[in-house]
Amino acid sequence: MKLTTIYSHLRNDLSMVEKDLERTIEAQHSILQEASSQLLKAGGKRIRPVFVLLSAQFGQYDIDRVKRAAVALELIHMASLVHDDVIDDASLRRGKPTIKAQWDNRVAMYTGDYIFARSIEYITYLNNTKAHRVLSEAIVEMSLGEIEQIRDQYNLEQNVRNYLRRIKRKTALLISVSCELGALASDTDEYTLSHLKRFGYYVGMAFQITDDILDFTGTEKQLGKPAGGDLQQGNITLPVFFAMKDPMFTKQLAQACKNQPIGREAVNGLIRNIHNNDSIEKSKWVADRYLQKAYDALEPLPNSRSKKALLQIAEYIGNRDN
Amino acid sequence: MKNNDTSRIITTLMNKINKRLQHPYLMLFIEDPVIDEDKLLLIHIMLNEKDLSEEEREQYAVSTMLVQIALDTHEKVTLHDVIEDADVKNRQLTVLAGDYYSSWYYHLLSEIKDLSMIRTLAQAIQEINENKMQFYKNKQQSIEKSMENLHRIESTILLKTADHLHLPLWKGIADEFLFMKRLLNERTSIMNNDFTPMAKKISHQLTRSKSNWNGIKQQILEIVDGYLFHSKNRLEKLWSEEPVMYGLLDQKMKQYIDRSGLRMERYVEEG
Repeated sequence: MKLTTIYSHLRNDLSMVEKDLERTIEAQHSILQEASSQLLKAGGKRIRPVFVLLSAQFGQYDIDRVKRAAVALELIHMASLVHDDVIDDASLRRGKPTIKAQWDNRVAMYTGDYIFARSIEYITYLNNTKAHRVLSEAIVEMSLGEIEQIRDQYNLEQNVRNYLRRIKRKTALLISVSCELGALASDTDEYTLSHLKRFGYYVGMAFQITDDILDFTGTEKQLGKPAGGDLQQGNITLPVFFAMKDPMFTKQLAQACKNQPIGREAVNGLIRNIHNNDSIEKSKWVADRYLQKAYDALEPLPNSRSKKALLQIAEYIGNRDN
Repeated sequence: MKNNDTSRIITTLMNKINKRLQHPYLMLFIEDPVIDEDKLLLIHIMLNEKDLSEEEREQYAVSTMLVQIALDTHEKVTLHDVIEDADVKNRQLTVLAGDYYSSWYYHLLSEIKDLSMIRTLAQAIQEINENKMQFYKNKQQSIEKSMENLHRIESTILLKTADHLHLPLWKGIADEFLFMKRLLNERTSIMNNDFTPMAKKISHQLTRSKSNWNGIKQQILEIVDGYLFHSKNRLEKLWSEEPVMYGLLDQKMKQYIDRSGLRMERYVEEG
């Protein structure tokens, strides 16, 4: 099933979110405007707004309040991608030139800062102090996670707990916050809120682990960038941790890490070895465990079209190939 | 408030800001973030005018400065290709440091539930980035327009804060003081043969072609000095309406003028 089919009942509200995304990134300077719209037009799954809207349907749903969280979270995510491309020195994202490649690092920095500020201004019209505390804490955590990711690059001494904490901050937190803000914007009760928050966290963890698996199993066409890109940058992800159980692989990896970034040929050799053992299967098993926890988190909540959609999205995440 | 009290409070605020800036891993690779003491002093004086709790005053001052430091940090992101590991790390962590500092601004103001101030600073960030884009990317624009951009880049955070606090007079003083300080710093750099982005913009307007630096340096300085002279006049007029500010800031301005080698009397003599 296609992702858009799962939440087809949200079509009208999502197009309202899309329109507000466009309006919110409007800028006076032509390059700032072009860079921001290009980013928006590049698409993406809009998974965060979808989680906000679906979670909000467990309470008193008012799209004018709920969209404040949906739009802001997507923009915060977008702003972080623009800066990530400077960090990774990336020239392609989703198969298209990045802002830093098309213009330069300066334009990318200003665009990221501009979009971030637009998103914060936009969400201040959601008058819910808890929502702001939750979101602002998450943004601090996300920044710390990004710093840790750089610190841990090429570090073969780290353990899986480091990795799990990193992906929590990098991905799971914002998805969890998407569910939580949706619930807060629609005044759900505490019980529902805590279950939605947990659901978001577990789905987010599964989402990132799946992403990390796809980095080794996806084709360049599916990924919009060459496979093994994360490993090339020295990011030790779950399949690599499993592969490192084999001392020969660890030795090969340590040798490869002497060049930073790791050379293309060495990356290809490492990918081949990751495929030759059971690292991918074991990683999939972990992702599935998180998905099961996500299903369990939703279980006590009343059955509804939104609950069904959230469960289907979780399932989609576990099976996706891009 | 006495000068001693002001210094003590500024020192306390500097320590609080530094606490937010210090991250052990970041500090290994990035330049030490700079706290602009003049901006902090101006914010402190403005906040002192209002009936705020100590916590509010502190959160306002710290978060406003964190926004400024975040933007200043992002200005240091390198533009050229880098190969050396230390240079790569420096660039990566400079990006993240700026993001980290700005995340704290939102968090601190969320703690005191001040959505309106969060919005004010978010608008300031937008305006500054619009002006930076114009300054760096509109190659053909006039010197006057570029100077206007510099004005906005330097003072928007304080202007918006003054607006938020309903302090129109202080807004004018902060605006002019910070612009003049920036021009004096630019002047010092040009005197030291640093071809700053502002010098490049002026030179482009003067010659429309690549020209010998020494040949145009004097012309650039003439233009900068003209703006400085007018800025100083405006500032003195504003100070006459607010003697307390004059007392606090005049000494600092004199130091900047001395350092830049500017001779104001020359303009007075020439009329």
